[in-house]
Amino acid sequence: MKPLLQVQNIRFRWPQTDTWILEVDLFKVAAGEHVFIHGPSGSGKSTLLKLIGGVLVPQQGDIFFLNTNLTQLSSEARDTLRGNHMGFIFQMFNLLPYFSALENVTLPCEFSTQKSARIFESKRSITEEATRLLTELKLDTKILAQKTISQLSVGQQQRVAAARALMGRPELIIADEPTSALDREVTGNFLDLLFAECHKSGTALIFVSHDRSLGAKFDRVVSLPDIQRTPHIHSEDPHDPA
Amino acid sequence: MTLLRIAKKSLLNRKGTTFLTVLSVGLSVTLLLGIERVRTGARQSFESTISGVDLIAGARSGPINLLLFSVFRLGNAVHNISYASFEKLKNHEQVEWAIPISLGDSHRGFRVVGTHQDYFKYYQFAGDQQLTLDQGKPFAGLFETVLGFDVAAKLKYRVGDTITLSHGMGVVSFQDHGDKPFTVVGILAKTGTPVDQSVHVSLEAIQALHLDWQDGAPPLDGDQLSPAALLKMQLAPSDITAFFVKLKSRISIFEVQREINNYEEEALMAIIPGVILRELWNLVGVAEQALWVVSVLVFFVSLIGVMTSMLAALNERRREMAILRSIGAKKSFVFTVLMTESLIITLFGELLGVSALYFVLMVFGSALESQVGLSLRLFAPTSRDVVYLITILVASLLASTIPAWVAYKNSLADGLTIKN
Repeated sequence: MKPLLQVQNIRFRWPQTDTWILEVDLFKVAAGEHVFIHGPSGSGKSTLLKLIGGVLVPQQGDIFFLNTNLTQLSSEARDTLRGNHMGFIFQMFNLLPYFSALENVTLPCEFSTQKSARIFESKRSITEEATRLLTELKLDTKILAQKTISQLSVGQQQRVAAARALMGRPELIIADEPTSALDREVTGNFLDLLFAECHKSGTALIFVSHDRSLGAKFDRVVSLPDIQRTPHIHSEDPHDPA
Repeated sequence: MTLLRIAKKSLLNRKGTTFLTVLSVGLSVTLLLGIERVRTGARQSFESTISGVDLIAGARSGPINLLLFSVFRLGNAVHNISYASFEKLKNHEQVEWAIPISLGDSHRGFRVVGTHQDYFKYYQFAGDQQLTLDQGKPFAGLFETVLGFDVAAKLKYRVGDTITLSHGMGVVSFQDHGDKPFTVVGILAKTGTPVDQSVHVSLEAIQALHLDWQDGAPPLDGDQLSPAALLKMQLAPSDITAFFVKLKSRISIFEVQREINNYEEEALMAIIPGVILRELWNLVGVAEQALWVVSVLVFFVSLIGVMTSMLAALNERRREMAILRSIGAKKSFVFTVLMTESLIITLFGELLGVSALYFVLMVFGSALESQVGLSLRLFAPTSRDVVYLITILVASLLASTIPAWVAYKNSLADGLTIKN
């Protein structure tokens, strides 16, 4: 059986530079598998996630996702594929401040007919599904409705972001340091809830963090320097505004 | 729908900036359309200074000069024309009516117009509006006068007051007709035309004032004729300055004009007021163009305002765009969100601008019309207004392509997340 995701022989460098900043021979994720990637700052974690998410395209190599080679797709087609089959959770500021928590969760369905269709298959409306996910993630939707996004704690915001990523049962969730702003206890709870939901929907999870101690809960732990052909730490992304 | 909802919510999330941007668009729309109204209003007021008159005749000089002194009371006639010529032409078979005017005297800087009572009956302005009396009645007696609205208002005259006239123009005159005072019998309603600045007396009164003058000089003491003596005299005007003609049929305008121009007994000239008014407007139209240029500049400033406020907000909105991209929005969506926001801002700005303009016209329009004589009445947006509004919308959208493009490029570089 083909893996859900297969990254092979990729090489990536920023335009107008001549140093490869990411060189991965092979990296696979099976359907429903939970993979933990760690690596020091600047080891190319974010770049790898951008490549998998289809925002960047490698100069060499292939990225197969759901049997489709992302590197052969147009930018618009990659956007569509991402919208239909992936969910994202970032470190913080995941939510649009001018929408309610519920609206933030239902928003992906407005960009993806496939996510909506999968929800309808389960005989639920989009709002019902969003409410269900928020409840599963131990959030009281009645209390959420009375608060603006900025009034939620970071832990609550991350659970709303997780619910949004889980909407429409995407095949893959990419989580980029989602717990780095949370304390240890909240992190543990958050991970448990996330795993439970991913299990239920059969969603694969790529979880990136510099905190190795979290790795124990995952099916597989990958050190990014280990899968790099020539492990190195590069300077920060010149295109990154941060 | 998603697009509109996101654009709307995002704009509301930045209420302060959005409101100020809408306000700046609104103000420029009010100014642009307002200046346009003033421009057309000024032109209309100008062109409606006199109406219902087919020809103006006077001594042969320049057509603009004839129009200036006869209608606008500016400058002086080169020569007078004989009353006999006027009488003869008045009885022309094509002439419906003719009103003579005799100029040359003044009262404290205001022109005195010697005329016939028909003046109050036939003189028209602003289309088909006739002169009406605010107070009193038209003059009937020799030493009676009817004042224009501004004369009475500025000099605080009322019906029953007496005034004296002066020879020639000027606020202070050294040759006055102080021995022959006039009684104010009527005050005309405001017209917004030079009639408001005129003092009207009968032709006979003009004759009476100058009867005892010798070779253009006032009589020596003792040689003056007393008002009482003059009242007993049978006065007949000998000459006038110009006359207004209304024809029975407009078809004969050119024919009668030619006849007057070729009048053998005297060097006369007839002009079609509408034609000369337009020529004159073209001369003074530079001011009109300047107003237009100013309003266009105002509009450009507001366009830059819209662009700047959008560009300034972009940096803090990179995260918002990245979130949208991560949940499935395409790159083009980011561009479209910005364009939609600009569309919303401009539409609301236009709505605000047009409402403000109508509010101002409703509250101050009639006051402006009666005080300045500027016709700024409330009417539905003209096709020109609509063209302006569409142009503003298109220009604003074009200007917004710059911030929208920057947002698009940003979102390409940022990808799905912004590091902090």
